[in-house]
Amino acid sequence: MSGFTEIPAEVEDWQNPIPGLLLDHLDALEAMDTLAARHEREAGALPPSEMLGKLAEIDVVAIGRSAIRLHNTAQHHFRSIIDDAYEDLMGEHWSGNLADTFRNYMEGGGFHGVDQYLRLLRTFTEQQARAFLNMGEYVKEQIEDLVPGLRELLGNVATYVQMDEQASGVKHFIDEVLIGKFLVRAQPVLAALALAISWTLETFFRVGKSLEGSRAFLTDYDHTFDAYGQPVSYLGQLSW
Amino acid sequence: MAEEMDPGEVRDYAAHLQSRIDDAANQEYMLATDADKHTVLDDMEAGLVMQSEWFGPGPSWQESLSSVLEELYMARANEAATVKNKLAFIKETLEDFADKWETDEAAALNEFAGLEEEMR
Repeated sequence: MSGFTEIPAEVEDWQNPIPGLLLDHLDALEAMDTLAARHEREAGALPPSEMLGKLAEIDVVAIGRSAIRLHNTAQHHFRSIIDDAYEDLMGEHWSGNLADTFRNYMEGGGFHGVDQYLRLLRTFTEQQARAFLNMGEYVKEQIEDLVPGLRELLGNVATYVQMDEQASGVKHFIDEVLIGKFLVRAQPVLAALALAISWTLETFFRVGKSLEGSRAFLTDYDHTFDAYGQPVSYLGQLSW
Repeated sequence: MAEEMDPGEVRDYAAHLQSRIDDAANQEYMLATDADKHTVLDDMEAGLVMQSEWFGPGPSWQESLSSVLEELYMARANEAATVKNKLAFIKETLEDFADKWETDEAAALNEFAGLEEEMR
C-alpha cells in the first residue's frame, strides 16, 4: 500500500474489476457453482458465485470518494476565520483595547483562539480522511490481488468440468485450483478488511481524543465563572 | 488607546458570519442524520454520508465498518455544532458591542449637547 500523504481530487482508477470480470464469464461462473456443488466442502461454505458476488458489490470508488468529500467539506466548513471582511474590520473600522481583546480571541496563539481551533480541526480531519482513504486503497489492492488467479480460473473452468466428468484428476483440481487458488484466497480478503477497519478505528479514536483536548481548552478560554458559579462569557464580561 | 469603532461596519461583519453559521448547521445536519436519503445534495455534499451497501451485502465486517464511520460522522457533526455555536456567539457579541457603542455615543453626544446648552 502506498499510503496517502495528501488527499487526491478523485479516485476513479479505483474501479472494482470483479463485476466486469464476472459479466464476461457468466457461463463459467455457473459451471464453477455446479462443480463446487458436486464436491464435499466445509459446512456453510458459499457457492463460488455468491462469494464473488460479495466481492463484486464492494464499491471501492464510492468509499474513496466519500473519504475525499468528507475531507473537502471539513476543509470548507472549518476554513480560517481570518478573511478579507475580518481584516477590513480590524484594520480600518475598529481599534482600542476591546478591539485588541477581540483580535486575541479570534486569532489567539497556541491552542487559544477561534482560528487556532479551526486550524486544528482542519489538521485532524485531514488525518482522518487519510486513514479512511488508506483503508479504501487497502481494500482495492486486496481485491486486485485476487484478479489474476480468478481470471485464470474462470477461463479454464470448462476444462475442469470436463475433467471432473471424466473423473480424472478431479481431486487435484478441486483442491489445488478451485479451493487452493480462489476460495482460500478470497476468504482472507474479508478477514484482511476487518484488520483494515481496526487500523482506521484506532486512528479515528486517537485523532478524536486529541481534538477533545483542544476543544476543552477553547471552552475554558470562552467561559469563566461568576461569584454564583454560573458560567459567564469571556467576551461578554469585558467592561468598556 | 482610545476606543474607535464604526458600529455599522461591526454589524456588517457580524451579519457576514451568518452564512458560515448556516454552513456549519448544514454540515451538522448532513452528518448527524440520514439526510442523504431525503435531500437533494449539491456536489459538495453528495457522497458525504457512507452508504453501508457500498461494502457489499452482509459480510460481518460491513457492520463494524459502518459503526466506525457512524462514530466518525457523529464526532464530525459535533465539531460542526461547536463551530456553529462559537460563530453564533461571536455574531451576537459583536452586535451587542455595536449597540452598546451607539448607546454610549448617543449618551455622550446628549451630554455634550447639554453642556453646550448650559454654556450659551
